[in-house]
Amino acid sequence: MSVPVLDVRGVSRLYPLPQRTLFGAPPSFAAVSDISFTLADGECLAIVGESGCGKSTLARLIAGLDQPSAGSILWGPMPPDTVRVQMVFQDPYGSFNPRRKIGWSLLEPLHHSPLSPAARLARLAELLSEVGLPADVAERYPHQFSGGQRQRLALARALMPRPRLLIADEPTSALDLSVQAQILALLGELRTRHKLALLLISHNLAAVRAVADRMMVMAEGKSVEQGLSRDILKHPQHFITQKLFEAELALPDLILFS
Amino acid sequence: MRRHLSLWIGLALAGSTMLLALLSRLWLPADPLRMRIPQRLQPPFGSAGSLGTDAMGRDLAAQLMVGAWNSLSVALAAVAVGLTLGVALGLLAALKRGWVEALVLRLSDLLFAFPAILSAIVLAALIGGGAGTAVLAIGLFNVPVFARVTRAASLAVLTQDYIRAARLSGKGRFRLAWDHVLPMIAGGLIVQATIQLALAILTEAGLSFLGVGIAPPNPSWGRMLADAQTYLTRAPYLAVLPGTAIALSVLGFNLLGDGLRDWLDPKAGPR
Repeated sequence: MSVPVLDVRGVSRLYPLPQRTLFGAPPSFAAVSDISFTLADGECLAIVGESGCGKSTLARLIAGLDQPSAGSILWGPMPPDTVRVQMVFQDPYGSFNPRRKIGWSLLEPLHHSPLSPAARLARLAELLSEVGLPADVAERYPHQFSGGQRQRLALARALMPRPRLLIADEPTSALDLSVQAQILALLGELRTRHKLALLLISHNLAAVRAVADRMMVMAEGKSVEQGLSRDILKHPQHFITQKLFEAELALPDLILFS
Repeated sequence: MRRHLSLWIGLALAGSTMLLALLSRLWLPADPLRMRIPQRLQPPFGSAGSLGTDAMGRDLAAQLMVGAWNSLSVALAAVAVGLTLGVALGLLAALKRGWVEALVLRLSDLLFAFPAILSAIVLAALIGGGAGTAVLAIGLFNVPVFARVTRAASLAVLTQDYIRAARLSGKGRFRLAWDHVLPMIAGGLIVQATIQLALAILTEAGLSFLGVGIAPPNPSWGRMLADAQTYLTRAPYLAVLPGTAIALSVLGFNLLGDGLRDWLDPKAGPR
């Protein structure tokens, strides 16, 4: 067993609610409550659950964009010239500044990097070719790309500073079905090539089946089921997991008969 | 051309005001301060030439041109003060949130509660009148306008995912503001500044009319209007000329602001 990249221990995030009584502590809402898991080098953990179950909040906490109210997030040793974590977001239209050229946005994660300008441009060209886009796209603006192309660009940007962990927050849910498959395939490919640990946040079970080694099912901020994804997909134990799977299976019928 | 009608009319009016103001630094039809009592109260296009003379026999065209320079420089300086302080405070409020934001907003409310003219009179009583007082008073009351516009626009930008990506790149708050927020909100700020410029010209004229603006004998549109009152029946053109100048320049900057907004944000559409 390799050293874990990430060790999440009992993490919670409470949001205060408006005070109801004159005295006494204001009530709070637990968006994430007592979540623990570890993620080994190169491993992929999928976090699934209904909308509002706290999976995106958990992603923000791990990315360091928000601070946990309780618990700790520990990182394994980092090799030189790597960063801990980068993210790919759900909305391909909001993840690039519309006023900046793609090249500018893709070089942004190297803000603190010691790389020379020439080395940065070389890395940019290398990653653009890895995500299947020509090098001259760096001179274009975000509105000149389709949703799928933007997710490829978002993947390239995330990999620029050599992250150990990539968090993909619903990376395919805003895309067409055919494009979804391409992006998932690319994600799997890049994960192997860059030896990435991957945290895939999704409610798309097909995506989980295709990419994830392990999965965690969340409901109302808590982890209700954790294990190998092939086991859980085959024999879901918790009723919430079963409900989630049923909803997914019923979807084609709903579309057919509506 | 038709689509951006207000932009073009505004540009023409505001542009000619600015051109006249700049021209006054290089060339004037006559010395605006030289009195020629024998030639007093000449109507426009009469024997005295150009736009006539006032009660002291001073050339009105020259006074209007220097007045344009004085009005515009006070208005521009005041809006620059308001823009600089307001944008800084608005960004601070949006980036820090919490008590900093609450403080900025409550201070804005406080400043909004006092009309600029009233406070300028108080300021003039405390530190004396003049262009400096006018700049300070009008500038101060532009601060909350820009602070609020900046805060609201910045908050909208800060929810975007590209801001999260930038934070993951290790950029600090101020770098974030410089690289992402300011370029995105610049268009709205330019529109607001143009409209505030129109208001500032109007307020400066009001202050000069009341005698707490630009110090005499330096010509200003507001004081030309005040001086015209005595001769309103005998020489109405004394009021009509500076009044038209104020009206057209204020209209010009307002139309320019509206036109810029339509041009920069096609989604809002022509009304």
